[in-house]
Amino acid sequence: MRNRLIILFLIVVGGLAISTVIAAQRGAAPGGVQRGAAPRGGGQRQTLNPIFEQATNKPFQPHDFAGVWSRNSEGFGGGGTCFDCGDRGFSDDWPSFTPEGQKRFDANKPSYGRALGSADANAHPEEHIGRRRAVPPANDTDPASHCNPEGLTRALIYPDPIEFIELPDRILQHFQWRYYIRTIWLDGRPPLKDPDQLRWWGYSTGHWEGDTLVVESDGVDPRTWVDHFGNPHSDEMHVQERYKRVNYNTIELSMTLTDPKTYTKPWVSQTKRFHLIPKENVKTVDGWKGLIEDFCAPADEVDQFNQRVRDPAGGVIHK
Amino acid sequence: MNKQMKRNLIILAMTVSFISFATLALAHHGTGISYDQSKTIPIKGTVTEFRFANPHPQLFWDSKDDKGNVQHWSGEIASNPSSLVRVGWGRKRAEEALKPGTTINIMISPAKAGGFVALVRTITDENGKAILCANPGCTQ
Repeated sequence: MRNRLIILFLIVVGGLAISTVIAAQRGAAPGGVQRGAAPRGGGQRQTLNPIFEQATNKPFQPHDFAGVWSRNSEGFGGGGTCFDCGDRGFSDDWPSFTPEGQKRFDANKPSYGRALGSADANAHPEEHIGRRRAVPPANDTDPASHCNPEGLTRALIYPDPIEFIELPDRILQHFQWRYYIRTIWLDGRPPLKDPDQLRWWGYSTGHWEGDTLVVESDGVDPRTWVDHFGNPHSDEMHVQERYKRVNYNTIELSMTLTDPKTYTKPWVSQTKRFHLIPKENVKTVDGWKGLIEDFCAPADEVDQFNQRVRDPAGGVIHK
Repeated sequence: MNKQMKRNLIILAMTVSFISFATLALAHHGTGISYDQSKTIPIKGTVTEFRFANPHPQLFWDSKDDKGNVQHWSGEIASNPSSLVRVGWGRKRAEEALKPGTTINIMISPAKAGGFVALVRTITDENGKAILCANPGCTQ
C-alpha cells in the first residue's frame, strides 16, 4: 500500500509540475515564440474545461452571438487562457515602431512578462523585448493598476467572460473583468474617424460581411495600452475587429491595428478564440447565475491592495 | 487507515495545493516579478486581518521570530475572488476560515525587496486542512 501511495504521489506531482511549467510558458510569462504557429493558450488542459459548452456540432445561426463567451482556461476567474484561445498579448510578432512609437513604448513600464534583466529574460533572446521587460508592479506605469480603463484591445484580450448582448441596433459587450460595457453600433451610422472628444472605448460601428461581423473603431484615448505588455497607440489608432462564429461553441476574433504615428505598418493580432459558457455555469456560491461583478474599485485596489501589499513587495513603502 | 498512510495523504494533499497555488501565482500580474518564487518558507502565524477583494485577497498576520519578537506580515494571495468563488470559496466561508485570531500554517515566497511582505502559497489550519485552495480537489 505504501509503495502505491508513493507512486500515486509521484505521478500527481510530476503531472502538476509539468502543467505548471506549461502554464507559465504560455500564459503569464509568455514565451516560446513560434511565429506562424497555431494560437497558443495558457491553460493546463488540452481539452475544453467542462464548464464550457462542449458541443461543436449543434445547429446555430452565424449572426447570433448572444451569450457568455470566454477565453479563460477555467471559464472565469483570472489566470491563463484556454488551450486553443491564444495568449494574453496582442501578437508575438511586432511591427517596427516609428520614432514616436518607440519613445512611448520605452516609457511604458509593464509588470507582465519575463522580469527585465533576469536570467529568464536573457535566456530568451528570440522573444521581442516587449515580453521580457517586466518590472515589479510597484514600479510599473500601467494605467490599469490604478483602475483606469484598460482600453479596447486589451479588454478583449483579457481572459475572462464577455457577454454579447444583441439589440436591434447595436451589440453590447459586457466584460466580467472590470464589469465594463462597450457599445458596437449596427444602425448604419458611418464610422467616426476624427471625433471631437476621444473616449476610453473609442467609437465603434459594425456591419456584416457574409457571416463575419466587422467592427471599425476610432477615437480611442491613447492613455490606454494595446495589451498588458505596454504596447502604445496614438489618437490616430484605427482598429478593425473581425468576428466569426465558426461552430456552435466557438467565435474567432482577428484584429488589425493601424496607427501610422506609432507603427510602421498595420499590426495583425494573433487569432483569439472564445468559447461558449452556459450562463448557468458562471455563478456565485449562492447559485446566483450570470457574470460576476469584478469591478476595479480604487477603494479596494489602490487604497488597500496597492498601498498595503503590492507596493511594499516592490520596496515602495507608503507612510 | 494507519498513521503512515494518513501522513502520506496529507503530504500529497499539501503538495497538490502548493503546486496549484504556484500555477495561479505565475498566472497573475507581476507576481513572478515581486516575489522570489524559488523560495518557499513555512511560517506559523495568527491572522490579524483578511480582505476578500480584487485584484487579489490580502492576508495580514503576526508571527514570532526565534527571540519571540512579533513580526507583522502582509501577504498577497495569488487567486482572485472570482476564481475562489468558482471553487466554492465565497467571501463568508473565507472570512470565517481566516477570522482574526485564527492560528494558521502558511507557505510563503518572500518579497524580493525584503521586509515582512510575501506571496501566500498555501494556508492550512491547525489540523492541516487547506484554506482558500483554488484546486477543485481540495475545496472540501
